[in-house]
Amino acid sequence: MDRLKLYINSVLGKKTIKRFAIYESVKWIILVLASYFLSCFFYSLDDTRRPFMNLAFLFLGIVLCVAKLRESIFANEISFLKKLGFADNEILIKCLFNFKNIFYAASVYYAVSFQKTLSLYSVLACIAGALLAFCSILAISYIYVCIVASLRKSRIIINVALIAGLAVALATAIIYVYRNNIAPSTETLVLVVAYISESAVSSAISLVFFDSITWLSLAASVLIAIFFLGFKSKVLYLEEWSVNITARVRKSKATVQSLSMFKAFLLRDMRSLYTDAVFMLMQIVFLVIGIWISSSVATEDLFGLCALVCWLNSFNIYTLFLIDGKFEWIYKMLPLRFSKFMLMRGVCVLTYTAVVPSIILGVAVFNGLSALYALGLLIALMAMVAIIYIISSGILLMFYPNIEKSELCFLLGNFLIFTPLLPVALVCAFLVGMKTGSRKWEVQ
Amino acid sequence: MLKIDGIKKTYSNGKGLKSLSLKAKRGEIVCLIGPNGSGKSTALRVIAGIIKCDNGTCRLNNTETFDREIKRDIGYLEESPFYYDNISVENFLTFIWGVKYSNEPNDELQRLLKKFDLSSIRNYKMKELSMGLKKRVGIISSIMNYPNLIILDEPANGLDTKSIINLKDEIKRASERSIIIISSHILEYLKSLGTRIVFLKEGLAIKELNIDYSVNLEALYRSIYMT
Repeated sequence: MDRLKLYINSVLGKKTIKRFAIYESVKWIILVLASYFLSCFFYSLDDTRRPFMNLAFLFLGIVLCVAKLRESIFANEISFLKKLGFADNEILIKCLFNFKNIFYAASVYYAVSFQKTLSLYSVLACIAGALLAFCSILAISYIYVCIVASLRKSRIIINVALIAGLAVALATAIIYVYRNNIAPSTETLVLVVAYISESAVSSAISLVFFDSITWLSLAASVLIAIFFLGFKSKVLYLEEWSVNITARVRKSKATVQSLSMFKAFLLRDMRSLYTDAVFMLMQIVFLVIGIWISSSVATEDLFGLCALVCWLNSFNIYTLFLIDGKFEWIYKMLPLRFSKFMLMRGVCVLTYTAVVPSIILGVAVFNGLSALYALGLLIALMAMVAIIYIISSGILLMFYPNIEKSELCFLLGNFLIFTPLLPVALVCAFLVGMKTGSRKWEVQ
Repeated sequence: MLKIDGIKKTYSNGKGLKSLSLKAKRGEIVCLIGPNGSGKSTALRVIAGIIKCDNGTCRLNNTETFDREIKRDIGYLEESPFYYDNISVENFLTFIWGVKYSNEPNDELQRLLKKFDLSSIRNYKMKELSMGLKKRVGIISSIMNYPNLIILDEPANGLDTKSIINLKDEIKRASERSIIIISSHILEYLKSLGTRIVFLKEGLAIKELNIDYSVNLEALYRSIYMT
């Protein structure tokens, strides 16, 4: 415990464990209450925005979780702490500090989802929901962390797994009872999972078929910002390339070589994603759920699920940008045009997002869905992915090539939290982002 | 006394360390030489007790280096060390000192900060430092308080000339109280520093010799790795 005290004192900057606990608790309460009142306010204005809001917070949670998982698994912190003589249980407890943000994100999501009346029961359900998400992620990630970090098996791992399992069961029961006003049964877990899936699907549908003026203006403002960013970035990129005659010669050669280079980079991108454990896990989960529901639910829900898969998958583009952020010099050493670079990304995103929906729709065709209709759905989905790609790559370009995982989460988090506000606010955020992005790009 | 007896560590791709045996006592500076992928870093990680070997033993003063209790007696500089980005240089080093030695850092830490020209930037956050400066912080963290065993994996990488000379001085000074194991690709640097050299090839220790001024390391390297 002395080591943990030192960690809290030196690294987290808190004098004592007690002060740290009070600080974190107060932070959590403020965050949850703020989310609750914010959602009350927005829902009172327009209740139809609820699904999007829910999806936005769900996505925020996922982004945070994935980023934190990557950070804690792939950083060398665990071996660093082992090197200093931290015990296995101390490392596991310390890992909890890393995961606290996941708990906060889950709390916020459930605070938003459960808003109706502020009661003891709703607060309890909020905590239970947060625990549910937290423990599920914790249980999976700890197994992985323990394998990666070669931690010796100890009682603490068994205890963590046991507590996580109990908390998941308890939280599931509370949520189910709260939301359905019925007594828990043996089917509780299955029903809750089905409920969550249904909620997510309806959120995706409402997102795809948005038609209000607000959302259209939002989309328009984002697209304009993206166009501007892309254009500016391209100009700056070409300026670097066109400084002398040699560069011009190289540029002309680019057309000859670009096809093979295009293939090479595309394959590299695909390989990077498909060797990524988190990405693969997501694909498998989506595939299992998709095949499961493809034979039993309505076409709209199937399309909704595929849309959700595409929507979440397409945000893996940040992984590709992170790779480029690290090896940006490679691009500058190669006769690769900026337009090719962006097109390459687009093709890669379209390809990897299409795999799972294609299989799901294929199974649906096998189960009786019209093949022509399935093809239409797939084309519609790919069009949606292309739009998402343009938007998300635009956001990322602001930070490219100096993309930091933490910056990205912060940016996307803010983007999603303030999305329901006003397009004006978003445009302001983009203007700041553009300024930052342009400055960073010019510095390179 | 460091006693390494037939340590072996194989990764899933079949590479790693096939066999290494070594004995070293206080005052010795053992250098590991070998091309990339020859198993140097794996050997150092096993010796530091960061990863457990598949076979063999590695003991420092009759205690397995993998045991937690002996970590305070080992200073290890990885090739790419981990740092907490948001804390200052001084806080980072004080944290490591506190965890390892359970007391307040003494004047030794201040001396090392001064020696490696870090005194003026002691309040800078780690993320604000360049690669070379971070490397200096890593070196201080591994040699401070002169633990019984100091392991340095390519310590001169990224350092400026002055720092390389300072590092050499500090390694000489530390060798009076510690066993030192270094891996590097700079042959002349190792020759001027080491007392013994172990050549690794494809995970095997194929040659071991004591260093004196008559040894022509480059010729040896050519005969072992380039023929």
